[in-house]
Amino acid sequence: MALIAIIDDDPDILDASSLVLKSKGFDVVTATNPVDGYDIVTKRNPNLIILDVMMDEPDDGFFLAQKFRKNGITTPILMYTSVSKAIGLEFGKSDMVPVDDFVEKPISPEELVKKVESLLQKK
Amino acid sequence: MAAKIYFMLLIPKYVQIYEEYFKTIKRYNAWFVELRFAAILALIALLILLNILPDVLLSFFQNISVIIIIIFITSYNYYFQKLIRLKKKDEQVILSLYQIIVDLFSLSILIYVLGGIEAPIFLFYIFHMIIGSLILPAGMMYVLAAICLLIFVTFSSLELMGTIPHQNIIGLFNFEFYNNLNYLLVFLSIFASLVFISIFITSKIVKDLYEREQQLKRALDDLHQAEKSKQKYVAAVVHELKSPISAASSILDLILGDYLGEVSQLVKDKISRAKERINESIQMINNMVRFSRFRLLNKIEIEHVNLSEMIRKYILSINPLAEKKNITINFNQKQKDDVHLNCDRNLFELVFSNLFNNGIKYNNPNGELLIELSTKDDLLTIEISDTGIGIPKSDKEKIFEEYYRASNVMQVEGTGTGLNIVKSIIENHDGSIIFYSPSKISSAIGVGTTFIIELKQNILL
Repeated sequence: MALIAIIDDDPDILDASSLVLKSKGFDVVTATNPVDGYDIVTKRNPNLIILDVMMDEPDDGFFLAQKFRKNGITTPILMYTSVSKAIGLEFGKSDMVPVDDFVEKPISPEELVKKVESLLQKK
Repeated sequence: MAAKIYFMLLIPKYVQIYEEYFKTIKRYNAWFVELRFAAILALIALLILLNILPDVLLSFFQNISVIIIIIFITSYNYYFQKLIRLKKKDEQVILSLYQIIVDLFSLSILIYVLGGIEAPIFLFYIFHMIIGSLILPAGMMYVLAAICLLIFVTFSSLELMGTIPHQNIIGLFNFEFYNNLNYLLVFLSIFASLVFISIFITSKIVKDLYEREQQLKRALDDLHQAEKSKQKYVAAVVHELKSPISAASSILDLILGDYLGEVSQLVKDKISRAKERINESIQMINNMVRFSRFRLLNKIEIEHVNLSEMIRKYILSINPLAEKKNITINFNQKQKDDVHLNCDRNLFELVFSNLFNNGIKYNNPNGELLIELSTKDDLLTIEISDTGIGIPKSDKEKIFEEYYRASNVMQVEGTGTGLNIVKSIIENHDGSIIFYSPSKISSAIGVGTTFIIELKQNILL
């Protein structure tokens, strides 16, 4: 079964997302900061990375995504964001933001599962 | 190296941004060419005038000379016009120096031909000094002025001594003063001070203006910088505000989705209600941030939007709210095809969210909210009518003002920002919004209000 790494500093989001994904049969590993996040991805080599755009700093998520890509990690990335709609920003795929899809918080369980499944299939 | 030093001498010391300065010079150079064409016309007019005035007589030499000068000026003016287009930005400064030199040369000859010290056109020297001071450093202009005066003095002296013939205009002056040394000395001193003073004053004004402009630019830059950090701050605040709410919402989703085991319908109903309230606050945060962004940047991002679809979607999303007050929402689109509009999608969502929500919030139970969409030629009209409490006549003038709330709404929560937001968004799309109360569907349920938004369908923004 596919392994999914979730990196988010909010323990409740981690908990809720893990619960939903585990119930669908996925294996889940989690980290609460960019350093641990990078660590689990390199050690466990997940099939999908879920990444929060903002952790301590407003663009921690972007930097981590860029770091993955720079170091040759091509695992699909699904990004959690809370500000995109509010600011009227629709993030596009670009070198600046090397992620495969976005979900706007609050994330509904159905939407999460749908996006995860479609990203895993694409791979 | 020598060329470079020579070049730097041409640029006033106060200039800070060369790129920008060169652009200004290019603009001035083009302007000089236009001015010169006007001067040529004026010169032709002067020549004709001198020839038709009774009693005034121009000699053959004077007539021919003026015509040659006119041809000379016209040809170099065309040449400069071409050069200005071809030359690189940094070469424009040298070009302006050349223009001034050639002009001063032509003017000197013209003055001699038309009577030297007796010719009133020597006043044009001053005009040239002012123009030159707009571009070149004051020092350079003083040198140029000195050379001009030297030429003028030389011509006058040579005429005085009889070395070259004096070209007086017969019939224009009744007595001659080119041969009066005292007059010459006084005249030349006054004229020289006039020339130098005009350079001094113009250079000072130009320098002050330039510095003022730079100050403004710096202030603007600071403002932009502040704006950027504000944006970043806003993003951080939104994140902070939304994070706990989002987390709470995710936890409620776990319960509603039976991820934590079965719960009774009663619990689910209450949790659904809690989720609705949470969504309201998320919606509110989004709206606030979106609009403050629009206010701060005063920028709209235009895209092609299916307005009919947007309205239908929005009606679906507020239906639960309407059902609670048993309000019927009717959407009436006059034509078969969906209506499209070039507009900022986010901001128009905000417009509908405000007007539709008002139409429910201030409506009476069992009322109606009627949304009509029609187009005629290029004009798109959206009418939103309700059977609510209406807007009193006394509030008519003020209803679109920020933080103003109608006198009859104190029972209903609100901030008085909604209609102000709507109006500025519509006006930023080159449209208009008006309202009247009682509304077109006014009934026993309530007087109601009708809002009419008019927009041009194919605005190019």
